[in-house]
Amino acid sequence: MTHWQEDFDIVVIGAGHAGCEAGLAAARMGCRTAVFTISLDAVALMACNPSIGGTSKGHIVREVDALGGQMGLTIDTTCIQVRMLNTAKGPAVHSLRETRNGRVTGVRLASGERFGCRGVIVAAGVYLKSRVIVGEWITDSGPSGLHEAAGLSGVLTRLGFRLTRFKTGTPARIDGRSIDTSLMEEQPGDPGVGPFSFMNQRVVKNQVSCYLTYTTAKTHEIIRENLHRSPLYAGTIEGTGPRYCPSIEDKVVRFADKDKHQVFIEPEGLHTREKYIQGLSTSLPIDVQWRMYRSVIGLQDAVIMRPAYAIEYDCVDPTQLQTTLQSRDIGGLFFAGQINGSSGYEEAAGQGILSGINAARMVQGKEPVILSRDQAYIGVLVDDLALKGTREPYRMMTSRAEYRLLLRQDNADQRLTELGYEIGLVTRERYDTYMRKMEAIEQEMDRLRETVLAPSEDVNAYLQRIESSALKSGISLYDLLKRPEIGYGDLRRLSPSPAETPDAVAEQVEVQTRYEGYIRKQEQQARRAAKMEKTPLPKELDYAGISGLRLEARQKLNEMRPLSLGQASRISGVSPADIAVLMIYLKKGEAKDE
Amino acid sequence: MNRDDTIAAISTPPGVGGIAIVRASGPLAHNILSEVLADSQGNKRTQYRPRQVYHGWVVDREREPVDEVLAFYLAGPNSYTGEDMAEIQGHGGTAVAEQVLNRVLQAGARLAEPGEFSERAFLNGRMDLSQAEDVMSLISARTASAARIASRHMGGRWSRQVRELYDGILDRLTQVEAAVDFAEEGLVTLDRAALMKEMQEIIRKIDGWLADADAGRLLMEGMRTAILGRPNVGKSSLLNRFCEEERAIVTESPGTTRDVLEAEINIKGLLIRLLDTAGIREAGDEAERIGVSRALSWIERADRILYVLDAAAPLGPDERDQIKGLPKERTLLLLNKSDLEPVIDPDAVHGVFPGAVIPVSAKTGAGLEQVLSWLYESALGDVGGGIHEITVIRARHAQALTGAGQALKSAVKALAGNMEEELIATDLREAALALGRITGQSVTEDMVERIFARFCVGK
Repeated sequence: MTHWQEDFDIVVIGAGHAGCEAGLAAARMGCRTAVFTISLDAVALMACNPSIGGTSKGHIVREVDALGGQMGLTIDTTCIQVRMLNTAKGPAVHSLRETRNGRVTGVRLASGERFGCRGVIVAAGVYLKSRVIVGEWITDSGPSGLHEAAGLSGVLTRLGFRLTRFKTGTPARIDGRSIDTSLMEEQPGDPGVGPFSFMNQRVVKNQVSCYLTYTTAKTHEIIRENLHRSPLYAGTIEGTGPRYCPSIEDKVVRFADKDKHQVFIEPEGLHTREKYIQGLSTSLPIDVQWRMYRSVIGLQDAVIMRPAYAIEYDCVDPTQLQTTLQSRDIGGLFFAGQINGSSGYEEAAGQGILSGINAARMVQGKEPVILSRDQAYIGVLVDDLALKGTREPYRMMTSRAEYRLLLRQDNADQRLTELGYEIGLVTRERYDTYMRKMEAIEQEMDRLRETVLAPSEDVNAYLQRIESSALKSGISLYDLLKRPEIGYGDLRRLSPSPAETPDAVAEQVEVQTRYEGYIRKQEQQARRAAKMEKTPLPKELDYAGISGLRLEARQKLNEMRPLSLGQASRISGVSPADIAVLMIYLKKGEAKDE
Repeated sequence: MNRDDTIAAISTPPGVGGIAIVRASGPLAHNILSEVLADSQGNKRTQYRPRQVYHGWVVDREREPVDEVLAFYLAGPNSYTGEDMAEIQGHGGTAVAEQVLNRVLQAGARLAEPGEFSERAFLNGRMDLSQAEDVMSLISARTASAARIASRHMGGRWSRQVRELYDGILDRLTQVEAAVDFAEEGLVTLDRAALMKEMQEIIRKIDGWLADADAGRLLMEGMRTAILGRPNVGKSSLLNRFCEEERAIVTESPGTTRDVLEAEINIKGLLIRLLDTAGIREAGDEAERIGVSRALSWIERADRILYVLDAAAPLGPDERDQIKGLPKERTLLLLNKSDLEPVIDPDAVHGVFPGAVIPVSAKTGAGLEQVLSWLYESALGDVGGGIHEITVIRARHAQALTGAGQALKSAVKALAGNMEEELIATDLREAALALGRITGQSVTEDMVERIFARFCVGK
């Protein structure tokens, strides 16, 4: 018998953005949870860049928040509060224990302690056998000088997981005092932007400015002359890098006709002089870096505090996972975050919360939660990873979501908060806030439909000022809001609501009204597709015996065992013709049963 | 789905011809040849090389010759069905061909159901949905023109054209999506004017195809033409007269006597399906009421309406009201009994019905030629490039094209109105989905339903 140091329900390996959400979700759902990290000083560390959000990534943060997650709240307050149960120096977790029935029973740390548990979430980020590369200089290390996890790759391989090697990178950090911002374009913060969390009304925050500048012909010349010293082009880097977040040498080569590229100077924090140089990540040698950064407008005297580097690491081929993020083959073993081949904090957090939820559901003996593609970006993300896999670090983009007009930032709570409440992750307080908001939206929509604005001199003068056509007869506020040039703010002036409308409600009302036609179109598309999503595929089906399927499709389907026709249709290697064959096969089965 | 079995059928039309072909498809194809064939010495071969023509005799169980034949074997997937296939070309004549088929069945094949070879070809990925549909149309074509159009389509030209549009729209969609995602990085900008021009070109193409869609559908499915009118105006006599003159095929629907009688007439390749209906009047009993309301429902359902008036009687007030409401593009008014002294006032008729009117006589046959030529012209008269150039021949395709066209028009409107790129992308996606439904690139439940209906799978 194994002697356990202590027993947990869930053990999380890694305390980055995936690990923190996973651990918190499991703990909040009532599971006894432990999170292990290589360094307690690096919890939810933002090693790659200092910002959260952006197109589609921001959506994920909102979704994590709507489900009762942490990321949004933490960003809004910029304060990290994760309680660790144990830490160990060096490569933290060395071995996963697996018994003969293919279930996880515990973990053993490199330092020898053993902990029993029923579920393990591996959220080890980019630390697996990671190598940091700066030009010709290469060292085994995690990001920001942290330890790499040397042993975990071997453990996973022995358990039968296929690993691939990916690469990512980060630009240099430059001393703010050496930057001449007078030559750059100031990018002040936008005061009108709401908070990430649905629980916060307004962000009270010191706004700092970013600065926009550009590379020069000189920059491109330096890069071209030294391409042979770039490990990317010299062949030193084996891992595949993200096409959508390219290094500057990649950009210069691939967009050869562009004579300049945008560079943003972003502060690393309020209490440091380090500036993050967005758009200039590179793995060129240090001497080239100095010359290259100094050729950028306004950086002529730049002092590098930390050099740019590329990092190469092992990740798990995510097609070995179910859309619950649990391994197909080993019960109780979950994976979340960059170890699944994704890139970005937000993508990691989204997977983290889902893996935490499903690990907890498993412990509770309940059905897993699967987020659909028309329900959440997290659903799109996990569905893509588990069914299609990825050949490069997967970055979320709005174009990956076919129902993006349904998956809006403003309605993440409508999509997910009830679910979060049902599974015990959303607090009563959050749920009540949500219900109150829903009620307010409904009331305001009713008021807009029922309130008719009569033409008057005042009204028409106002409309003329904002270049909208004058009223000849009465018009409902609802129809008025449908005019592209009219915003909710205009309605506030023309016909104020009796009670003050909160910004979040106003935003909802405006979006729902303005895009009504298009939203309805996408709802229709989603409904049509839902039929396929809801057609289950029998668990025991042997695809090898279905002769109409092409060979590749038979192999892929037998390996991936999709739950529904919809899932099957997204597996790479399964064609529309194969899906037609499957549909006919299912129909024949039904006909026989009758 | 069990396709471990081997199917066989005579694949040449029944009757007297130069040769008759028996085909078999499935794992036993090769065995069948070694079993039923013998060479000129009476010896059976154990090995048939694919794609090689063999001469020999089909022999019965006692090795007595049945027919002298040419035969060949094709190894899957390089065959029409994608499976192993055997083909035996014998002498024409129903009796001989059936004997050959019998031998093939004795060797382990079973008789194929209608369309089953094509079904297998589709399921094995040898043809796309649109091509499979064309095969089915060809098999069920009732006129030579319909058959010719179906077989021309089967070559896949139409599929290819649709797929080109589909690919074109997907390309543009990718551009728009890129502009949404990478706008901040300043690497991608969308040329809205160029995009708008391209979309307008595609819309023009689709509209061009759709212009002949109605004609195409009528050509493939036949034109349902309802004969309507008061009792005793001569509807049935007219139908009978048409049948006598045009060698129509008459079928009587089962049920009550008030059900529809149908006659099919082939006019230069256009199948006109004449439907006789119950006389329209204030109904007496329940059964008659049902007949009348069914007859009236044809005003909506029929492709064309022949509304019959009695020229030897005054226009009744009910008739007046009725013809007032008829769709004039689809309706031809017939003044029957034109052989008698006319009573009806043609001006009064024109006053309430501005469409076409032809005097006819069921008794003498006068005017019937004109009626048929009006029907033909109303269906195919406007087709620009001649009926063999018609592109859209199925209601389903017309519907998909209409959907795609609408989505693209919405995209153009959004582009012109300077709307967000996300919305334009939604429209382009909708257009691509619609086009994909024609070729099977977008798989949907209704597509499978259709395959079922057409292939009789599972029955």
